[in-house]
Amino acid sequence: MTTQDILHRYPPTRDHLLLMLHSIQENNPGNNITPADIRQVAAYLKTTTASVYGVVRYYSMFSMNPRGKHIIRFCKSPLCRMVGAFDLIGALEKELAIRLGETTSDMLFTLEPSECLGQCDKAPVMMVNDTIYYNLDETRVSNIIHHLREKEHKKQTS
Amino acid sequence: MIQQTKIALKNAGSIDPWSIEDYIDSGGFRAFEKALSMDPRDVVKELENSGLRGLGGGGFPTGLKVKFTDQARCHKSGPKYVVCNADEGEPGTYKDRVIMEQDPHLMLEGMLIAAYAIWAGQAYIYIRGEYGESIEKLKGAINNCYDKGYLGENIKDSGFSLDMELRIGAGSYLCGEELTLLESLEGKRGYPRIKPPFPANAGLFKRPTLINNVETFSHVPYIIEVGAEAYSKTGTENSHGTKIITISGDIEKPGYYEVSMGTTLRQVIDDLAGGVKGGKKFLAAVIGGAAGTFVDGSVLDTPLGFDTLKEKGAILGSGAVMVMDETRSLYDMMYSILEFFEHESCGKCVPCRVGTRILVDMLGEVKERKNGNRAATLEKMKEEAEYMQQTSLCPLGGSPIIPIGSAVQYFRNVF
Repeated sequence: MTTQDILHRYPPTRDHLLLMLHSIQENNPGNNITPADIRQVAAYLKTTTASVYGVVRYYSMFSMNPRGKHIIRFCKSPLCRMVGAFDLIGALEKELAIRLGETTSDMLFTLEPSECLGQCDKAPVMMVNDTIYYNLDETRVSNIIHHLREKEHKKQTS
Repeated sequence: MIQQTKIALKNAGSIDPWSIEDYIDSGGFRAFEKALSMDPRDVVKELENSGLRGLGGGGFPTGLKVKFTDQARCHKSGPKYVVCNADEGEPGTYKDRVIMEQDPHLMLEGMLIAAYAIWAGQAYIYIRGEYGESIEKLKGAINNCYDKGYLGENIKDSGFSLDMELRIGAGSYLCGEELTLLESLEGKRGYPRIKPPFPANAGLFKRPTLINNVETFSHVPYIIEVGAEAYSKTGTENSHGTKIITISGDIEKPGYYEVSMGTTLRQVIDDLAGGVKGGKKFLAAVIGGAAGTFVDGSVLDTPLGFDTLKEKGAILGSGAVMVMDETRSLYDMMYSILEFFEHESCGKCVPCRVGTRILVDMLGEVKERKNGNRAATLEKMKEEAEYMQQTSLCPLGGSPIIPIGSAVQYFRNVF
């Protein structure tokens, strides 16, 4: 689907902007919003590119940099931090050989921090795309990554 | 031993959240149909008399919001809106998520009743983008309501029409603040607005707008069903009904518990949540989220309520309770809270943008000091935070004073 196809699913009014940006981002292989997308959105809404750019850059779920297939959002809210979120983020950084905010070179994983995911009774928690993983410890985190890697590997070889 | 009292969670866990038939079978939409048989002005009066207060954390009388929106000038001409604030992001809080995932039709019914009361034709739910499951359930519930004729044109032959749309946020704590939420709903950066005007007069698209939290809307059907008088007799003198408390941290059974206002936190912690984990000693609880208060054991016997806790220098806020046992560090907790505000400050007001950073730096400087030797710094931070509160537009700039002030009050000598 092209960005134009997505845009025409919405009425050309500004209040649909966030929904448009979500859809465009989901549709792009890099899980991101490109400068070309921003120009098209601005033309469709009859506004400036600066105005759309300002919105894209404001909200933390939107990214202009290409991201991995699996976006890991690790909750670093006060409660998750109290029960060891940063130790686990460190373990993930090691496992994936990237720093927080970066993407692996095979474009499989992006590791992002997130504010409270609202799962505090099962802290520490992280989200991988739409799936929540909770009551995490180092073994569990490592198993989740292995499992996702294996799944991707199988897909490629089959 | 206390029990839970359920209004917002009355169906949670016992019905299929995808099924509107299940919801109807458990008494769903009876309140809405009762409301339709009433004059809308009487529905406004019922909500006003009920004494319901905003359960998202603000505690503002919901009935007054309804009345002001109803009476807003240009009443008879042009659209009015009902907006549900489902942008739950206060750290430690997950009450709205539970309602949306387990009984999404209930809040929709509350919105329907409120929309009928002020004769609004369009409703929006603004939900945070990270709540994937809630988003799917709400989409399902809205579709169900259209299919069963509870949304759309001329609902149940009453002459009242309402459309409802779901709008999805994209990762901004600040958008949970109602005026900022409206900016975001209009497709803009999440910057707070200057108030007045309040949403009741000029909210979404500058039109009269009634905006309430998920939990607040979920009380509306119950109020209409039992009547304002019966509702106003529950809870405490100034805080009626129930509140969902979400407990997390060092606790045996972390989770969500809906209790009558007036219940004490000690009852919630000991009777419902099994006490402090592993038999350790209680050190502190952070009540109300990040924009919440550090309290010691002496506050736990205070009956829950907006005013009762305020008298103790604490706040009920969103109902989040983060429990810390004796091994935890108050310093670390405060540091992560202040870092959170620094990250979420939108930058519009300079005192908040710079101040949130300064607070983190000030606390960072005394990291190496032993506990009990940071009182002077804490006092200075309190001054800074007070200044921020006075000079910032929205509640975020006024938030750091809440945890810092309470830490000074309760933990000055051990911090």
